[in-house]
Amino acid sequence: MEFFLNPWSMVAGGAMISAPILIHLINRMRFKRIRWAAMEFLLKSQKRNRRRLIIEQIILLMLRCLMMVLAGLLLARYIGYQPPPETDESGVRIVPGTLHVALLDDTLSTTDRTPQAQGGEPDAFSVARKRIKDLALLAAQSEIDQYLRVVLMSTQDVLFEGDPKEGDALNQLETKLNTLTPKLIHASPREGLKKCKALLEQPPLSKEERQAAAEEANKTDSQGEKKDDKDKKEAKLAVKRVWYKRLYVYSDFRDSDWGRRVGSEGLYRLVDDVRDAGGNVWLVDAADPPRQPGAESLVVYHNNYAITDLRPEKRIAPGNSVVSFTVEIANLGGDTRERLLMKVFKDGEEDFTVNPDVTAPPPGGRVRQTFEMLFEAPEEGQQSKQHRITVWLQNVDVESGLLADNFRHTTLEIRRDVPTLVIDGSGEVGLQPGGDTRVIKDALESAKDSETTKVVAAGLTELLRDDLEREYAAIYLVNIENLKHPKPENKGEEDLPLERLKKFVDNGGNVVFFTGGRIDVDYYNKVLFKEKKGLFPVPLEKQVTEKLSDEEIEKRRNSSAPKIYVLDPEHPVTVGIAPLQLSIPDLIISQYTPAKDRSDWPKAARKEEEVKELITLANLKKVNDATRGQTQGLLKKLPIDDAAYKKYEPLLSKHKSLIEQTLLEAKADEMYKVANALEAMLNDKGPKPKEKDNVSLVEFWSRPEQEVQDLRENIVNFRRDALYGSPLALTRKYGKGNVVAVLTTSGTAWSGWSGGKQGGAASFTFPMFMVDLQKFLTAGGAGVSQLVGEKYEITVDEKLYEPRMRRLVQGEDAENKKGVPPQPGIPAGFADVGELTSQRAPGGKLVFSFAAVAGPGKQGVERGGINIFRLKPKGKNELEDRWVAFNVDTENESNLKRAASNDVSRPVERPFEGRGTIGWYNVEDPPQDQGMPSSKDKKNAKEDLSHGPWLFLVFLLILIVEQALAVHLSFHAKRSEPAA
Amino acid sequence: MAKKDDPRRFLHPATIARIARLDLRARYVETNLRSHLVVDVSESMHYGHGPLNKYEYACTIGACLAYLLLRQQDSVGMITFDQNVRQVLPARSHMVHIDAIVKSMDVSRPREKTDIEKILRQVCESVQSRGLVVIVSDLFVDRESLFRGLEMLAHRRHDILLFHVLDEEEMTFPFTGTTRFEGMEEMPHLVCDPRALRDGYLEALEEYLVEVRRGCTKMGIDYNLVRTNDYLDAVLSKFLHRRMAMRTMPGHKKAAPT
Repeated sequence: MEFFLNPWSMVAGGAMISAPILIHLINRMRFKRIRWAAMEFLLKSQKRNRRRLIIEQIILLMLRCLMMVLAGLLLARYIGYQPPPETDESGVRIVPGTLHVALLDDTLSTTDRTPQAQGGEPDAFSVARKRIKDLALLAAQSEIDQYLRVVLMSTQDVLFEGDPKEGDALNQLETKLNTLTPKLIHASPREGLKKCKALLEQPPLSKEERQAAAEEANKTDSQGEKKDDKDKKEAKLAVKRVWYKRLYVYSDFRDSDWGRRVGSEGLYRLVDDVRDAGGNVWLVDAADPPRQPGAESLVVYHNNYAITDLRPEKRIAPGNSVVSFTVEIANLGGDTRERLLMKVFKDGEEDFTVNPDVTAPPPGGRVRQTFEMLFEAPEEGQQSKQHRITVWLQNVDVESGLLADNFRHTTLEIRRDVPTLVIDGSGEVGLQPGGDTRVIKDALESAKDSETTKVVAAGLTELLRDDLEREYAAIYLVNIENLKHPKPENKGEEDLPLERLKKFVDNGGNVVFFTGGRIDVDYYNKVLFKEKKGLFPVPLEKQVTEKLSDEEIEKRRNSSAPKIYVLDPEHPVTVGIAPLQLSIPDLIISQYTPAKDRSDWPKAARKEEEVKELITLANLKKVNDATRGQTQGLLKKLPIDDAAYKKYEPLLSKHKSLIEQTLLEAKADEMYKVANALEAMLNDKGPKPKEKDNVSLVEFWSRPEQEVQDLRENIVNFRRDALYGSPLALTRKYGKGNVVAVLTTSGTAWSGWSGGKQGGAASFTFPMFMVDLQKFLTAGGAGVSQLVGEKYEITVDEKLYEPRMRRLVQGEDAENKKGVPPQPGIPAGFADVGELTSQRAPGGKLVFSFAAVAGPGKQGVERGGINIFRLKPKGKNELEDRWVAFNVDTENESNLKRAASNDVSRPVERPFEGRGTIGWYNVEDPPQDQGMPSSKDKKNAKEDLSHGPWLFLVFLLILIVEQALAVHLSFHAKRSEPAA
Repeated sequence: MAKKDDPRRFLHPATIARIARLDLRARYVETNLRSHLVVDVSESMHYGHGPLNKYEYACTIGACLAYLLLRQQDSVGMITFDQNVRQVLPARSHMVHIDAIVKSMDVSRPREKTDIEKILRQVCESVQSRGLVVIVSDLFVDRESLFRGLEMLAHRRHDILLFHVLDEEEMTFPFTGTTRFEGMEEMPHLVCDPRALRDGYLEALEEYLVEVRRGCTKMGIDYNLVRTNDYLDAVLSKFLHRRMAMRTMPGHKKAAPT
């Protein structure tokens, strides 16, 4: 409508409207003159035909007017016709506009490639990029105001902001998009959506307002501005802007990010908030292949292999030793092959001693492979030497899938000795025979291949070191009352040891707690456990258990019942003692710190952070009338006579009789035998497990009938109650590190495991347990591997280091640059990317920070590989290199499984007026959306006369008639007769 | 002496002498025709689009007829008129009279003709003896006045010849396009689309011509409609042949010879 309110448009329109009348009048004025004699007859004729003449002239005039009206209508259809302006109650004109906020997923998973045979864009990111350009183009064609904001999911930065219809905004957007590359990081869509939601709530300035603001900025506040101009400007702006809000999510919608599960409510709440606020949310899936409308739940996705883990068995290893590496390969798709080709590089050179042929994981599964490599000792004069190890899966994901996760890097430090810190609450006493520290030291230092393991006993003040993670492979906290600073100099330093320890674990260090008589249970519960937020894995009961009497100890020692149970036989900590757990009945734990009931353990937000019970003490329930009665009660419930389960009857009967026999034969302390018999019944795979007609009880117990499931649950509970007592050893992840808690002493004070008076034959398993524990603790794993896209900080003491450091990055094609001489002082395959300046932190610290994503003025790690952070210690000539391996986040990004369409876009349950919609944006057939044109708008627009030829034919007919009539009625001068 | 078969042999010689005198007078009248040319030189006669306008055409007709009459030694008079009778030349039979006739038709400032009856009355008065009256005009006058004037002439037993001269455009009205017709002889002007009025015009013209022709026929006037684009020799030749044919027709009233 503003087109028509424009004064020039008004003039043009007025001229057009008056044109037929003017033409008519001009034609009437143009005539030739004839002096005529026979006027009498002419006047007579004119008198007779007067009425007809007037009617003819009127018809001609009306035809011309009609032509103008038709021409105006046709013109208005294409130039800016809009419905009459809406006004609010106060009469202020409502001017609509559309605010588009596009969230562009530029994370690692969008590098999923499209098979070349299909043509088109090479990967999902390029598709998303193209779709945004299409959106901008579409918006630029709209008749109403448009404003576009493009937000990057990785950084939540606004890539572009502006009106696509203005100037070269489209070119700017295209340039920015073309130069944009996907980040090899994981970023939750939640943060991006938060940013988008905030941007949707900020209405942009209209075009007039922007112009006015620009003029205002240009104009000084001199008195030259006339009041009239001001009034005009205000009158011009006296409109109410109404913005249609549109949120577009350009993503690949992987199940890991968008799947509906516990924890994803927050994400969908953000989407729902936008919808409830009246915005339309359009989901644009950029991944290949396109979603099919019929297959809502089953969305096809590309196969992808990923190396999800690469860790040396030790983070710090002695020289001239063979170090075992574990690599975990995941088949995150449906590809079925038996073997994979895996290449291993050490310091950029392929290591041909490693067998490249590895077993391929089944579809959806993972395999762990180990390989060994020999590392020489550091050269003379060097305390340590760093190595980088890279594993590459060759010949996978050739056509599609991700390439970045087919590589994995890690570092290994080879040292002359490997120190382990033990802090003992009993101080020097712990070093005496049977003392807590002494038994650990003996177990670790005397073990095979542990020549370089060095146990350092120190006090709590040792935790105040800045370079804990660099100095120590693991930390043992033995019978420590609390972690408070023994001699705080300043206020706030009291918890410094705890903070340092947390940071140590958070950065990948591992810590072991042994309890004892000195521990402050309240401190452990309130500070260390801290409702699951602290280091300690479980809450503890206030009272430790009563010490067993000598008779009881003797009685137990003589009993054949196992005293501990290994709950996870494959865990690295228990893998050594798991086969021996039933063979060491003389293991006496006379006293321990009981954990609170398992039902009191809060659930972890993530599965990986859940507490894992490694070893539990035996319950030592007696076989007596009560337990016999309970067992018999369970056996009676077995549906042996039920015809529905007839085929299981032989097996059930067999086990029933076996259990009954065990009940009869078992001594009072042999409840474990009954439990084992019950377990055998639960896990009986039948006589011919590999044949089709095999009948197994595993199949029986998995039947869906409620009675079977109830019975199974009762048996499992009874067996668990009969066998398992209080937990003895537990572990949980904290940050990138692990915490292990053993709820008794390491020394002989409470436990006979490490020997002593209570010790027995079982004490030989203690060094095995400790060595396995030490391997687990010093294993590299995530401890030396950072994820690309995570913030990273290096904190040093300003008294010890210069405030600047250099960063060396592994070259992209380092393996291909064989023969290129390394730069002086820079290891082969690395490139110096510049100097970093630290920031001061409280407590006289210097912090070198790396952002999740590099950007203007901030450094970040953008791809996988090894980074060397070269620090300059004060007063020393030697530089100090810190090697850190960065790997892509395979856990969150490599699984290309796509979220179900109907999961992401659920229909509105209770639609109400003003509520927006959530839907999939079909690129081929864009949905009709208010506020912008789309091809579907044009396709589905209501047909009117102008779509057919008839209007134009009528127009033509009118034109012909008008011309004919005009020729008939008007004067057309010939050459020989000039017009008057 | 009367011959044997002469029917007058039975008449008295005095009667025969008297008849001879009458016969002589008749022969005199027959052989000495007194004719008058009445030519319209009014403003309306000055319209025309071809080589000759109506006035020129009418003058040519008059001159031709005068010449032919003088050649057979008849006396020819000339009367021109517009608003009034402009000039009157008495009938003479000398051949030199032709110069005076031609000169009398030359008009510098034509005027409108208003009252044709009055003019024809003057003509009637000026032509005492019975003779031939040739009227050349476009007759754009009031019909009633015209007929009354012609009746006066016919009453005097003049042999009246009427040459009704019209231009071709006046007959066909071929105009197109918006045109302003400016009326001659104080007629109003009219801006119109001629094609829209053509049919009406031709209809009115036809009515007029029919009325004139009927009136003339009723009064025994020899009416000739001529167009300015007609060849003059053809028109006169046709006219003379028709007059000669009329004389041989049975029952033809003896009229002045032409």
